[in-house]
This record gives sequence, structure tokens and C-alpha cells, in this order.
Amino acid sequence: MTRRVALQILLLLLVAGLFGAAFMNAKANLEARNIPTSFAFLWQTAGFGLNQSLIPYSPLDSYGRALLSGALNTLIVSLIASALATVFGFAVGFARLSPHWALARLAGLYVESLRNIPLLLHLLFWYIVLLAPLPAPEHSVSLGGIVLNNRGIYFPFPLLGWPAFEPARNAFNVEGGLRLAPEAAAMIAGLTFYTSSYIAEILRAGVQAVARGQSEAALALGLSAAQTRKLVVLPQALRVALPPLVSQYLALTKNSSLAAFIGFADLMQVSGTILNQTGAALQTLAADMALYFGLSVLTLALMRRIERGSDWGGR
Amino acid sequence: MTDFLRSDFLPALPPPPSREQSWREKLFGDARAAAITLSLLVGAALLLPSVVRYLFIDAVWRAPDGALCRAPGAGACWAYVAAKAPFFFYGAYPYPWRVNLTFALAGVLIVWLLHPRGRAKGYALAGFFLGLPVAGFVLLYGAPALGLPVVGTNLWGGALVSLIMALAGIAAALPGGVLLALGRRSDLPALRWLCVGIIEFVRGAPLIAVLFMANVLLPLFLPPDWAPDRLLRPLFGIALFASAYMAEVVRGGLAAVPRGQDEAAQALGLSRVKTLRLIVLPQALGAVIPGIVNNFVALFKDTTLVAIVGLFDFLHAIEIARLDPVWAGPQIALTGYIFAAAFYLGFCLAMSAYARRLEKKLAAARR
Repeated sequence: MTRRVALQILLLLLVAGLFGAAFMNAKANLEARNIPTSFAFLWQTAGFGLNQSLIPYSPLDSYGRALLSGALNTLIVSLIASALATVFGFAVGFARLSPHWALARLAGLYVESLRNIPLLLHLLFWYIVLLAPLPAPEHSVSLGGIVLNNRGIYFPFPLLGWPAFEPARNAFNVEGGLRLAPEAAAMIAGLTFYTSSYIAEILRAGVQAVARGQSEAALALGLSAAQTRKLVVLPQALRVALPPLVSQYLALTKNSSLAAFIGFADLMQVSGTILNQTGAALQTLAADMALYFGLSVLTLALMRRIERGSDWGGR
Repeated sequence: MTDFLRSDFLPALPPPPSREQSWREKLFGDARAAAITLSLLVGAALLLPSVVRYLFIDAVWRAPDGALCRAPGAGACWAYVAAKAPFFFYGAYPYPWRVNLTFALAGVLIVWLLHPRGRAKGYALAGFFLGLPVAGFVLLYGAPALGLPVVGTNLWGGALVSLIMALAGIAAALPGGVLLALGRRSDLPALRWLCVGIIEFVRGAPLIAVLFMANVLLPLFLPPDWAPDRLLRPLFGIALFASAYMAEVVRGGLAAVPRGQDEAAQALGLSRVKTLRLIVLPQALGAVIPGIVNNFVALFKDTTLVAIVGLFDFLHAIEIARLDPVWAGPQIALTGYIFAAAFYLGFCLAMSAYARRLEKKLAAARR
């Protein structure tokens, strides 16, 4: 008994010693390099622009506002990509379960090839190969109300001049509508296709986890194949698939930090820029961790509640 | 709610097919199947010829520079891949033979370890986890005493860096993950909470954040003259990240070992360490080999992210080569990406195929 206590005290002392040494070193290093140690820098002028921002932002705004804008970009891109990846993933997952030999094989090919290629390659591909050849603003292409050029994709949007959305074009810019920067579009496309291959596998595993007798019994009761799928198999499959699905959404959100590679102004890219300008490594990384970690804790807590509260969870 | 009560009988269904369906029945069995097959065929007919044209017929196989590949109508620019291959694989490393020898050594050890009929795997294990790091360091970094000139890590690049990151990550993540997982179920609360803290903190962060931390915070937390090498810092980040994910896989394996195994071993008089080493860990790790290999696949793909801290891994080398004015052009960039995709696909598919085969074998053994 005393040995256990002694061991733990030793461990705690060791950890405390490590932290203490790290703290002393950091203090000395920070002073030597003249790096700010408080969060006061958040109110200084940022001086850099962002290619996409949900809230009004200009280079004259503060670092804090730039971080907030980056965090919002992370959230919105993750949200859109999660929704699209679910749609694509379910479609491919069902195709993979299809009794049709060729369709199932094709869906398998989709899953195996997309998820075995690094996400970064997906993003670079969408960004450079598909979006870079878009025309300059003066040669904008119009597709059924959506205007395309290399500054972005302009959607008609209710609050910004829709339905009478007729973008004012001049040699330099398109005005009005909702602009999606090419970087944001590449992020959404890359995250969607990469994650959809994982979601397809999750759905397939969920459906295959439902006992065969369930669908056989439903068919014996006279339900059609479509009714069996919708009313018997899918509800049970989703119950199995919910936890891995949620962790996949979290992985997608964390993966959206790859935006730094293609220059989309998400939280990670903005904080990287701030880190380079101010050297305030501890503070910016703390802000990053607060968002990603907070988001995953929040989501997991929410999921536990859903599982406990409804008939989804324990049988 | 829908009402499912039937009032009339359905006509009897035909008996289920008693033999394997023929190809024609599989693809054109009923109207639905025929429609799907036809639409797939039409899609393939539209898509395949242009892909084949792009990759092979219109491709530029030999060219001194990018001019031919920039010409309108040119397909994939394989000449670019051929010209830049040394850069893709070795970066600026001046002695390719040292790299080749190191990875040949690693390949032999891996095949020895993974081959189902390999003998004396203890030696292979020791070779991989202890011998290979030492031999790799001597061969790659150099040892003037042995007549191998020192090559600074600033010259390392390409697939060399990707594979080092992956191998070192694997070599560190397996023991690290086992230790973290064991710590997580220890009965000492202090140790347990420390391990839970490390695992959950790392798993809650994106790898890029972990790499940033390793790159920026590690030198801050160490005395100024201890600053680790620029290759070592991301390596530490990757090892930590992979260990945390590995710990969760190993935890699943530990949970799958019945309690009776542990108790029986202790009843037989085995010590705690021997119980773990001889009874619990072999069963726990064996149960989750597919998960472990999937983790390795993810780790290999994640090595592409070390470019964020300024290392030249394989993908980053391709990104850089693309900017060479001699070889700049949209088709050339696309060719580089196709090549990179083939590289990663090849490695990852080989690993997953191995995991699947092993899974089948394990399932058969359990039955």
C-alpha cells in the first residue's frame, strides 16, 4: 500500500519537475527572444487580409478578430463538408451494398482509392487542377445565376440582392451575391470526397451489423424491399453507425486544419500567420486547442446525451 | 404510423436460385439490373477513352524540358516524372546508395516480420526496433569514423523523409501505444490520469497543431543549447500523435482478453510482468492487428503534413518541382499529382491488403 502511494508521489513529482523545468526554460527563452507572454497582442492591428470571412474583416482589424474569423471559417467549412460528405457517403455506401455486382464493385473502387490517398493530395488536386484554370474576373462565366471566376464562386443569396441577383461586373471584380473563395471551394470538395469514402464504410458496417433475420422477417411480413430498408434496416443500422459517424465528423473538423496548405483562412492558417508575425506561440496554439478540443468535448457530451435520452442508445 | 396489415395473399414467389448466377443473370437479370449495367457501360464508354488517351496515347514520354508538355492537346507528362525522379525520392541527398541500402534493410526486416512462415522472429523484432534505427542513423546521417561523410538533414527530402517519418513513427507508436494503454488501465490513479490526459489531449488536436507544438514549443521548453534537429522535432510530434491513436486500438485489444486469462496466469504464479508479456499482450495485440495496420496506413498518409514545418516529404517535393520554370505547366502539375497518388495508393493498398488477409486468417483460427 505504501509502495503504491510512494510510486504515485514519485510520478507526480517527476511530472511537476518536468513542467517546472519547461516553465523556467520557456520563461528564459521568451525573455531572450522578446516574445509577448500575455494575450494583449490580440488587440493589436493584424495587418493581413483574409480570403474569406463570415464577419466583416479588414487588415486594419485586430488579431483577435482575425482569429474569430478563422474559427468561424473552420466551423462553416466543416459543417458544409460534413453535410455533403454524409450525402455522398450514404449514396456510395448503399451502392456498395447493392445486389448489382458491377455497381457494388464500382463503389468499392471509389472507397478504396479515395481513402488511400492523403487528404492533402485531394486538396491540392481540387485547388490547383480544377480551380486555378477559372477565368479572370473580366471573363467571368455565368452558370444559371452562379458566376464563376478566379476570385471565387458567386451564389445568389437572399440577403445580398437575390432574387434580382445580377452581379455588377467590371474589369476587377464581381459585386454582390455570396462569394465562396476558390480556396474554400477546394477545401469543401476535398474534405467531402475524402470523408465520404469513410462514411460509406461506416454505413456499410452498420447495415451489415443488422441481423439478417430482421430484413427476412420484414420481407416475410409483406413489406416491400424499399419499406424494409427504410423502416427496419436503416433505423437499426444508424444506431450502430452513430458513434463512428460522429467521430468521423470530428475528424473532418480537425482535418479542415489542412487549409493552411492551400491558403484558406481557417483558424490554423490565421494562427500560423499570427505566430509568424508576433511569435506568440503559446497563446495562439492555446486558442487553436480551445476550439478543436472544446468542439470534440462538446460533441461527445451531446452524443452521450442523445444516446441516453432517446431509444437510440443501449438496448 | 403506417398500417401493415394485409387483407389478401401475395402470389407465391419463385424459389430462390439454387445455383450460382451466370454473368448474364448477374448483370441483366431484371429490368433494374439491366438499367444500372447500361448506365455504367455508357459512363465507362464516355470516360475511359479520354483517361486512356490522357495517360498513355497523348502522354509525353521523353522530352528535354516542359515545352512539349505545355503544347495544347498534350496528355500526361511522364518525361517530367522521369527527369525529377531523383528529387522526388531522395531530395537533395547526395548518396542514393546509402538511402537504398537503408530501405532495403528495412524491407528485408519487414518481410521477415510479416511473413507467415518466418522463423526466429525475435531477432527480426530486435532488428526492426533497435538495430534499424542505429543502422539507419549511421548510414543516412553518416559516421566519419566509418568513412561515411555526414549529410545534414537539410539535404534530406522526398520519399526518403516520408519513409523515415513513417518507419520511425511505427517503431515509436507501437511501444508508446502499448505503454499508454497499459498506463490507462493501471490501478494507480496518478498514472492513469496522466495517460488519459496525454491520450485525450493529443487525440483532440489536429496533427498540424501537434506538429506546430513540436516545432515551436519544444525548443521553447528546452534549454537554448538543446534545440533538437529540424527533422527530429516533427518526428517527435508524429510519434506522439501516432502513439495516442495506437493506445486506443491497444485498449480495445486489452478489453477483449477475458479476465480469466489474467487470473489464471497469476494463479500459476507468474509475475505481473510475465503475465503481461506472455499471456495478456500477445492475445490483446493479436486481436487488433487489423486496427494496428489501419493506424499505420493513416500514419503513412499523415506524413504528408510534415511539410507544414518546412520538411520536404514526397508530396512536398512534387509541389516544389512543379514550380521549376523549366517544367511549369498545368498538365505537368496534374501528372505530378497522379504520380503521387499512385505512390501513396500503392503503399496503403499493400498494407490494407495484408491486414485483410490476416483478419481472415485470424477469424478462421478463432472458429
